[in-house]
Amino acid sequence: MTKDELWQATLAQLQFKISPANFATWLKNTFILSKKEGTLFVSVPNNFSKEWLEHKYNKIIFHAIKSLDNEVREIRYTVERSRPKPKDAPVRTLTAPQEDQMEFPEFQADRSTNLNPRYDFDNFIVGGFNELAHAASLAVVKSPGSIYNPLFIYGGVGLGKTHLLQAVGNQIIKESPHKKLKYISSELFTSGVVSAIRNKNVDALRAMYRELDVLIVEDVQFLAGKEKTQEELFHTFNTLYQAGKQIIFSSDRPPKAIPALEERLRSRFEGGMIADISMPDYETRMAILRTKMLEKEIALNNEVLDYIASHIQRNVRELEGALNRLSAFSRLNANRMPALVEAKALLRTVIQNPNRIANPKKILQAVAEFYDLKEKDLSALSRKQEVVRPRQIAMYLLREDLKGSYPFIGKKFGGKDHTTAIYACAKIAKELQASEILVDEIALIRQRIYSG
Amino acid sequence: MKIQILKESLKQAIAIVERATAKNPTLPALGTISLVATKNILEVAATDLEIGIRYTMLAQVEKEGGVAVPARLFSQLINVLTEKDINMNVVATELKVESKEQKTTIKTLSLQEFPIIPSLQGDEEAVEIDTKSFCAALAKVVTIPSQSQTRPEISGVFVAFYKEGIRLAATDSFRLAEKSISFTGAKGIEAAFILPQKTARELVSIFGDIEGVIKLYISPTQALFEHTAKEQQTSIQVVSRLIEGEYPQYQDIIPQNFKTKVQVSKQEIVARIKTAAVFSGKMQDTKLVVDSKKKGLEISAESQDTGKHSSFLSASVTGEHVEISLNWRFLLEGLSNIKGEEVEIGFGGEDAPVLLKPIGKEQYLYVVMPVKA
Repeated sequence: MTKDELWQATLAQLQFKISPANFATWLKNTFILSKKEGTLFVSVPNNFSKEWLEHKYNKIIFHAIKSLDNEVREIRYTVERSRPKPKDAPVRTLTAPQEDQMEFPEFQADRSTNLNPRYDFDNFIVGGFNELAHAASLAVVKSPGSIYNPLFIYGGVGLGKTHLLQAVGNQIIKESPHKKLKYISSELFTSGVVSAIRNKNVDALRAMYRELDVLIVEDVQFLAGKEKTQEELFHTFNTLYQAGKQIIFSSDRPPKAIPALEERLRSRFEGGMIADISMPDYETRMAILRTKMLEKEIALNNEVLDYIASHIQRNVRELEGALNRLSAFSRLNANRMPALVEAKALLRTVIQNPNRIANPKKILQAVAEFYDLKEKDLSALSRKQEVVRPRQIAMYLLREDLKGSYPFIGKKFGGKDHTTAIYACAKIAKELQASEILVDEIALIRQRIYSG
Repeated sequence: MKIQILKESLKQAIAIVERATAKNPTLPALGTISLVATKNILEVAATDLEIGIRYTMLAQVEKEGGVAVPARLFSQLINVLTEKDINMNVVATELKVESKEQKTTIKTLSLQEFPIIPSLQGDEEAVEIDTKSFCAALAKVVTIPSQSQTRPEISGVFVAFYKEGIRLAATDSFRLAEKSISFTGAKGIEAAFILPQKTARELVSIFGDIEGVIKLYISPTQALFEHTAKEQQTSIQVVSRLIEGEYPQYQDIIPQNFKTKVQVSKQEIVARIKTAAVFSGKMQDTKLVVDSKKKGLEISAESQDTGKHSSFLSASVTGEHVEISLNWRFLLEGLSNIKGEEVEIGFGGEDAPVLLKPIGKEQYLYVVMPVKA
C-alpha cells in the first residue's frame, strides 16, 4: 500500500468516528509525509490542526493506522511550510481602486522568468485563426523539448502572440516548478549581449542562457541586422537544442521574410514547427468580445457587440480597447450600458481613425520598413533584386488598395513608365496564386498599413 | 470550576480575547470564549484558527476546571454587571454567574470542543521588543496590505530583523510603505517573516497603549507575542500563523534616482490635497504639477459633474518640470504616517513611482504609483 492509499484508508475509517464538521476542519489537507522505522510523519496544514490531532484524535488515528499497517508504532504531526493550493483560494480579489491606477511593474512579472501570471490558457480564445498555434503550444506544454522544437509562432500586432507564449511559459512552470525558464524579448536579449560584450562577461551570459530548460524569445524580427546578437542566439540555440531543451520564438512574420537574418539562424527557426496566427473571423471576434465582457463585468447588447465585431477586424487588442471605452462610459453613467447610437459616437475615434485609411505614403513606408529598406530606395533607379521586388509589391498594393491608375503609380516611383506598373501588378498577382509566403508577407504589410 | 474574580479584570480580558472569535456554523466553538481555572489563575482564551489570544489573570479558585461560553452573550453580560466581584460556578453544562444581588445561568459548551491554541514548543527564537514603539511602527504600515489571493505573500506585513533594527514593510502592489525602528536586542537573529494583516491589526489594538516589552517567539510556521504585567499578575499571549511564501524583493521598487525633488510643508500639502479631493469624484485622481520656474506645486482636480479646483503651493524645487496624476487617498495615507513638519517628494516622471519621505531622522518611506494620465 502506498502512503497515499494508507492515509486514504485511515481517513475512510475515521469518518465514522468523527463528526463531519470536525472531520472537515481538522483532517482537511492532511497527508502522510514519510515513514521511518515505525514512525509515521503526517503533514497538517497548521498548528491548530496539529494540536488537535495530537491531543484529541491521536488514539483513534493510531488505532486506524495500526489495523492497516502493523509496523507503525508512533505518529508525529508536522506543520509543513508549503504554498497554499491555488484551488483553495477564492477568486482574485485584488482590485485597483480604479482602472487607470498603475501597479509596481515588479509585481506584474515574475523576476526570474519575466512571466506575467495574468496570461494563461484559460482566457485564451481559440478560433480558426489561431487553432494551429494553440494546439502546437499545448503540445509543447505537454512535453517540452521533444515534439515541436523550436516552436516558431508568427502573426500580426495584437493577435495574441504574447498571450500564447506567456501562457505556455506559465503553464510549464505550473506543471513543473523546478524547470528553469526565461521569457525574453529580442530587444532585451540584444541589450544583454551588448552589455556583456562591454563588461567583458560574455561567458557568464552564455552560462546563464545555457542552463535553461525553456527559452522563449519574443519578436525575433528585431534581430535583423544585429550580427553579434544573432551569433550568440545561434550558439545558445544549438546548445539548448542539443540538450533537448525547448525553445520558442515569436515574430511578426515568417522566418523567410525577416530581412538581414543569417541563413544558419533562419534555417534553425524553420527547423521545428512554424505556426501562424492570422486575423480572427467574425464569430471568433464575437466570442472574444463576450469573454472580455464577462471579465469586465459589463453587459452590452447584441447590436453594439455586432457593431464592434464587424468594424474592428484586424486587431484583438483594439477590440478590448473598444470595450474599455464602453465600460468607462457605463461607469460614469451609473452603470447604464450605452445604446448603439452612443456606442457609435464613443467608438468613432477608434474605428474611423484616420490611420486606418491607407494612402500612398503609408504604403511606401510600410513596404520599405518591412523589407528593411529606405523609402527613397523604392523610387531609386536601382534594379537590384532586393529593391525590385519590394517595389513591385508596393506597386501592387497601390493598385489593389488605392485603385491608383497605372500612370499615377509609375510617377510615384521616380517617374517610371505605366507599363512597368502594369507588369509589376500582374507579376505579383500571379505569384500570389503560387506562393503562400508572398500571401503571408502581403497580409503582414497590409496589417502594418492599417493598424499603423 | 468554581472561582471568584474582579469584574473589571474579567471585563478587560474578555474585551481583548473576544477579537479572536469567529462565527462558524460548523464549528460553534470558534464563537466561544474558554475559561479555565487552575491554581489562583484564570485563563480566558479565544481563537478563529488563524490567530489565538490567551489572557491570564489572578482569581480565587475554589475548584479547578473549565468551560466554553458563547462570546457575545458573555461579554454583553459582564459589561452590564454593576458589582465589583463575581462568582462563577460550573454546574453540569451550565455556568452560574452570581454576585450579591444578581443571578445568571448561561448554557455552555464543553471545553472538549474548544480548539487547542498552539503554545510554545521551546525551540523558538525569542526577542524582546519595546511594545509602544513596535506597535506604533506597525500601525504605520498595517493598512496597506491587500487581501490578494493570487499573491498571498503580500497580504501581510513583512517583518525583518537585522543588525541595527527592525524593518516593517507592506504593499498592495500600487503603493509600498516601509517603516524602520532602531532596535539592538535581536542578538544576532536575522529573522524575517510575513505577519497576516489581521494579526498586525490586532497587535496594534491590543498592545498599542500598553507600556513594557513584548516577548516575540518565532518558529517557521507561527509567531507568539507575549506581554506580561508583573504588578497585576496578568499576561497576554497572541499566537498567529505566519503567511507562507517569499516576500518580494521590495527594495527594488523604491526609486533611487529622481528627475525632480520637492520639499514642502506637510500640513500645507495635506490641506491642499484635501481641498482638491472634493472635486476629484469617483476616480480619486488629483493632478500635481511641479513648476521648477515658479518654484512650487500646483495641485488640481476636475470633475465633469461638480467642477474644478486648483491651488498653488510654493515649495523648494530641484530638477525638471513634472506633471503627474495620483490617487489622493493613497497620497494622504502616506502623508498621514509622516510625523515631521516637512516632507520630501521625489518624482521620476509621469509614469514612474513617487517617493514620499519625512525630512529628518524619522525612518519612514512611502512609494506610490501614479494614475495613468
